[in-house]
Amino acid sequence: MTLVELGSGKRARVTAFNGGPNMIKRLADLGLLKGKTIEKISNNPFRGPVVVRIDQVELAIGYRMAGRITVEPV
Amino acid sequence: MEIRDGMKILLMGNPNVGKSVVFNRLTGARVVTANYAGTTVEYTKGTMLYGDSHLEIIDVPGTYSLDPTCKAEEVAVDMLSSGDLIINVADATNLERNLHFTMELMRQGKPMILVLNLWDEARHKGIHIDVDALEKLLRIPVVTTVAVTAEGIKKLISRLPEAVVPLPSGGQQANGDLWQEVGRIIKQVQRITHRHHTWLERLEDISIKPRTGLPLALVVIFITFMVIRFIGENLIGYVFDPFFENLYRPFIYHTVSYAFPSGTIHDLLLGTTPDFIESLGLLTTGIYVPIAMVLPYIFSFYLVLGFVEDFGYLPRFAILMDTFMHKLGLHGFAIMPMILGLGCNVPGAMATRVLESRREKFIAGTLMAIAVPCMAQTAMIIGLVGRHGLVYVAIIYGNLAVLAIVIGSLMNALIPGYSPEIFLEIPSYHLPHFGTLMKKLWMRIRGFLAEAIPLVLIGVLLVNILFLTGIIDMFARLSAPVVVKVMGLPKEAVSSLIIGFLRKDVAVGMLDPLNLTIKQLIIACTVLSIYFPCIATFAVLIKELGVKAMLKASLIMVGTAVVVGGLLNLLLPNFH
Repeated sequence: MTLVELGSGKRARVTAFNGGPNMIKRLADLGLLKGKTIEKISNNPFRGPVVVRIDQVELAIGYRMAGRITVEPV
Repeated sequence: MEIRDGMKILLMGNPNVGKSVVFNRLTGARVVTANYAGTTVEYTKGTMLYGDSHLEIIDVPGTYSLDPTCKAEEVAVDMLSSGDLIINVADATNLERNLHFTMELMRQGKPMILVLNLWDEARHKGIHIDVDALEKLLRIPVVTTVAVTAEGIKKLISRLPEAVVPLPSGGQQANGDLWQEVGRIIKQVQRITHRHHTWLERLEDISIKPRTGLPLALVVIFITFMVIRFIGENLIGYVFDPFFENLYRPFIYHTVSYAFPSGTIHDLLLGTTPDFIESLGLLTTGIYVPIAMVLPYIFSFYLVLGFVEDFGYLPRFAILMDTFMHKLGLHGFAIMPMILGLGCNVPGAMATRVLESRREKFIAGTLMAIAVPCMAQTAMIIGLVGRHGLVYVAIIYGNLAVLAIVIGSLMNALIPGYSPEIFLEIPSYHLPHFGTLMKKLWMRIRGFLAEAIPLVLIGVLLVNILFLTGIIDMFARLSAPVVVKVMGLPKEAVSSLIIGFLRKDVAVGMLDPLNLTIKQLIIACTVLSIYFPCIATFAVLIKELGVKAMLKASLIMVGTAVVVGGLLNLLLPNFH
């Protein structure tokens, strides 16, 4: 499933990025890498951003970008 | 390495790790700091005395990697080659990602020292870092600091000579390997112990989840406005007005009348009427408007803004606003320039630099110039319009809010391209450090005094010259068709619009002697906000957007002003 579909409060492992090298680099810059475990904090309504916690940091990720991040619930 | 006179030392690191706080500590200089990424958009230079040597310290905008993705990051990378020594500031609460940048920097062949800032915060979060082990692994000095309280800064200074060019270690070639290498180091030096959530962390969750966050945002906005108004109004009522009426007025009237009993100089200094706002004298209006009417609100606005900034609330607000801002062709973080613009449009315009695309910068800059009145203008509007009733102030700001939505939607529909998505790190909440807050407040007030007062005085002088030479009459006749026929204002209001190019506060003040109806006041104040930014903002916007884009933006502003002025004249009822 994608990060958008993951329920709030659930933890998951990042398995794949459906995007170009640019997107992958931007995500990696902020510590979002394949294999990382994340916790979803919230979804904003009307295709708003998704908020996740990764390590000690919270990140806000735009809806489209979040939809291109594949995760596997743990 | 040997510390020499004139050496260039770069402060580099990820955004929002406290580089500017370290900079302020090292140089004694004061640059604005806040708890979110992108506060520093341009590098700042300062000097630090080290023994007899003067070292040049450069506060470089934060960057996540040396492969820049935005303008602020480009500035950072461009600076790199000119530095003699790098102080790499890292956030100890987020060591892994910060170390990735450290490892990138280590390949640049410059002497380095690593600072683990927010050390107290890391302890609170149950993060234990073995500094000695980290130092051995990286083979550069590592110092821990709590920059806001100056803890560790002396140690950092004393260890500067130990900075060394990092030795290349095996296996760190490709980018993927770098993250693995960081992972290996983290495993050896970092241990995280479980602990209970603090109330600040619970508040973080409440303010980011939309169901609780949106109502909370409304509460925060309401309280913010009430506090700003309460402090501003009481400062004026109990401190500034009594001072100006009881002490300042007798003093300047006696002094000036003694030196120049009458004549042009007397009129130039004191004006021709006793009213501080209407007289248009250099020592009456020229001092009273910026000091007694605007300064109290500048003080209260920046006091509250400083607290909200340092607490870390603004990025959360930006995320909640994201969906709405996309309708205007922007993403949530573009709310930052708007919020800063409420204080002064100049830092607001500079903050558009954190936005990724030219399209966003154009939309954000234009929208701010049109619909975000600065605190100087707001203070005057509250002072002059507010005495007829706050509802009229609300109508002016309501007009501007609706206008922001209409113009933003239009620009979004008509300008090719799309708005990039928000992607941003949300800082932890911190209880603001009192000393840092006060320093920042003082810096901003000093900035206001230094920039506003000369321009206000020039503005008042200019008004006098324009009146004396009859140039105002000429302008008034030329623009009468628009100002009088379309907007329903008296032709004398033109003088206010002319001075509005220099200072919006003086411009609003100049409406006072015209005896406008409430309807005319509302139209004039709204148009004053829309038609053009003040000269200082204009200069920054030209720099940020370029001449051609600014020309387009200016056309949008003037066009909008005429249309809105006309519409309000048609649609607003005559208030009684």
